[in-house]
Amino acid sequence: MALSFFWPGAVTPELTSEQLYSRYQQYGDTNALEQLIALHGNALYHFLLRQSDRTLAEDISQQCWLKLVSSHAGFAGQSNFKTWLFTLARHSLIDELRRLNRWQWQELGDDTACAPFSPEEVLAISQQRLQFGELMMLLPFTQREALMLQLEGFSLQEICQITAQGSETVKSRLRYARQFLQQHSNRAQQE
Amino acid sequence: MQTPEQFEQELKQRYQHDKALHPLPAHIRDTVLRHATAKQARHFAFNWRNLQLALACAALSVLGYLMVSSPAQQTPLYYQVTVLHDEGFNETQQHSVSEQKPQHAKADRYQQYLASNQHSEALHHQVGLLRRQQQQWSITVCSDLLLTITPQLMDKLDIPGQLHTRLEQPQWVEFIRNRQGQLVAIQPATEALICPHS
Repeated sequence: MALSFFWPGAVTPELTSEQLYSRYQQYGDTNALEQLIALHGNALYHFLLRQSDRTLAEDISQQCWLKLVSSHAGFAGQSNFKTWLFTLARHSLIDELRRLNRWQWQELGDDTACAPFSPEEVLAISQQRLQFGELMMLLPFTQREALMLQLEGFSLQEICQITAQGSETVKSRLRYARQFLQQHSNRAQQE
Repeated sequence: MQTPEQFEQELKQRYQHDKALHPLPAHIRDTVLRHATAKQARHFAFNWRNLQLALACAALSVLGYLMVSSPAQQTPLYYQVTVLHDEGFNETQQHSVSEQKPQHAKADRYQQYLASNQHSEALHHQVGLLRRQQQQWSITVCSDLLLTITPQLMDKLDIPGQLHTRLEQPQWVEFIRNRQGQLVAIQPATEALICPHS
């Protein structure tokens, strides 16, 4: 740390994401920014890719990182950096989907309260050898995002924070998403 | 039939595998870092410009202060003694300071006057009565000598308030002139001058 005081480029590997962000904001240390992108860039892009498409995922990813660079969306430290970054990305994605009239999800929709497919549909789907991405795309937006975030390592509380939903809603979404995927998996094994 | 644990394990593996297959495109990372570097360069340039501005302001301030406060920059003052004729006194001199150089004729005449009086002592001490007369000061030495002194010269003689404040009434003072007959000091006299005919 003493060395990094005199030489801002000397970022030690044990720094947390919050410390790296702070270093970038305070000293304009691009090495810290590079490390942040290395730590979270792939996960963020993958999340956006599975929630939209390649073009939009690239656009939103770039937007988010550029906002961070230009300090328009300053991280205030009220959550951990990764939670803040994913929240920012999700908001940007939903704004963009709304702008493109691709936002299908209704606040009062019941996609969290029921399974997305009937058993017959699940059987039909399971007869295909679907890739993970294709399988995830069969899930409703909100169930998919909850599951993706949990698989990425976010806690229930953090998922609630990112999606701005209550814990019961998020738990339901996770349960139905898993139920569908497990049914598909079991059918596929029986084939 | 998978157990829930096996299912969970497989789900995590498939998620990680899928993520590894779709990394952040390198061009996005490069674009972001390029922006960050450019912003840093602008920030540095902005700071350097501000530093230059601050240094320039500081230099101008110092220069301004020196110009205002430096005595070397003040307009020089010339001491002038003009010899006048007054019937009431044997000698009458008007002492003043001016920003204008004294005329040669007047200065020469005064030098001739000094030579004729043979002022041999380096400093000439005399006692006289100091008065304030309207816009100027005067010192009279009986009926022998009348010196009129401009307020500006009184200020330059740096006579402190000890005289000024008490001079509503005439006061006996000792005044000192140099070899050129220029006043160099005025101070309260310890004794009054006794004029022969008074």
